[in-house]
Amino acid sequence: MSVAERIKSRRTELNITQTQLAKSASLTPAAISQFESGLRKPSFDALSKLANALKVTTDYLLGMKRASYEDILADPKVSVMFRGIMNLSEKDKNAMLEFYEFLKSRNPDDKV
Amino acid sequence: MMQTSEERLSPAEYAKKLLSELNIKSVPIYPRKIAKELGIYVWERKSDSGYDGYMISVNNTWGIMINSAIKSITRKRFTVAHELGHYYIDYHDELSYRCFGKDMDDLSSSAKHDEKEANEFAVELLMPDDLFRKDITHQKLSLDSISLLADKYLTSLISTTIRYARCSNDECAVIISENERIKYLAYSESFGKAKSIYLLKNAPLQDGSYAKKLFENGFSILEGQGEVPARAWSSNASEPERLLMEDSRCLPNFNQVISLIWFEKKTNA
Repeated sequence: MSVAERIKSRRTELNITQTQLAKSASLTPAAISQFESGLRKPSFDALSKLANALKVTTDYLLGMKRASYEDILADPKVSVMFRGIMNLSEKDKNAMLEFYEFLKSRNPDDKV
Repeated sequence: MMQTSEERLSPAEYAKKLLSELNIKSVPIYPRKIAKELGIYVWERKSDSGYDGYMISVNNTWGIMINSAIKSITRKRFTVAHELGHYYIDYHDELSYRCFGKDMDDLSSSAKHDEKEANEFAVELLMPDDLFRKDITHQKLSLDSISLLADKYLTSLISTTIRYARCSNDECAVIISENERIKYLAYSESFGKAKSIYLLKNAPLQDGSYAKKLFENGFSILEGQGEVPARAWSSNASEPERLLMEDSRCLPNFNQVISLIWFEKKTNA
């Protein structure tokens, strides 16, 4: 995925509009629209604001590496979703996060 | 739309609904196949934190993680069926359920409400009421014949016997004992109504029962069947000398004894 696609998919995931993202990242809606369509590349400063607003790392948006498990768990939405995951052993936690990533990558309309 | 409590289906009704939606009319039921049909991914990983099953939903994609350390096939099947309950029961609306062995233990009273509901769902899914009742009509009562049913439904002897006792028209009960005490009991409607004998959880086993003999022999004898007086199962039986049938068997893995007791049907008119 490109940076543009990552921004858009993460925003859709959080179920917020371009305008809402613009507001929480202190950017203009026009800029968000251009970032998402790939017309313009975000500056490092804009990227950092976007990452903050989208609750991911700048590395993730840049596709530098897969988000680490610590990053995934740092997302409040994820840690709330996993009932009791913090009490699991490291090994079990990693297995569950691997499963989470796998499920996240599936299209809900695909049959198993 | 919010459902009122009158409209709310019971967990067993949800299981029936699912079977009918998938047009499943014969046993054994394969919960993994059902998961596949519903688009639910099932993974197995060895867990050292001790959970048996974990159900999660990510962006409306569902997955069930099963602890591969579970040795018994029937237990694994029950675990998948239990997690399907969390998925299918409308009012189970968490995004994840982490379930321990004790949550899925028929004999445990500590299970949380949601977990009990998922268990009820699993029992109905694996041993559908209508099919099960048909199978137990005209069935000679004994643990041997229930074992055959367990083979047919691919369920454990304990859960099949409990299901049997609850569905049966006979005056019968199943007792699981541990440390020479009653740990768990379930009985048929007619057994409860007749009140011929009172069974109490945690009560010590009485002299004269086969179950007590199995414990006293340190499980060197694995089973015992025959007629025993009602007082062998209850110190305050209404007719202490009335004979009842007992079929008891050791469950050596758990240091427990399973006993099926019943009153023979009265032959006089």
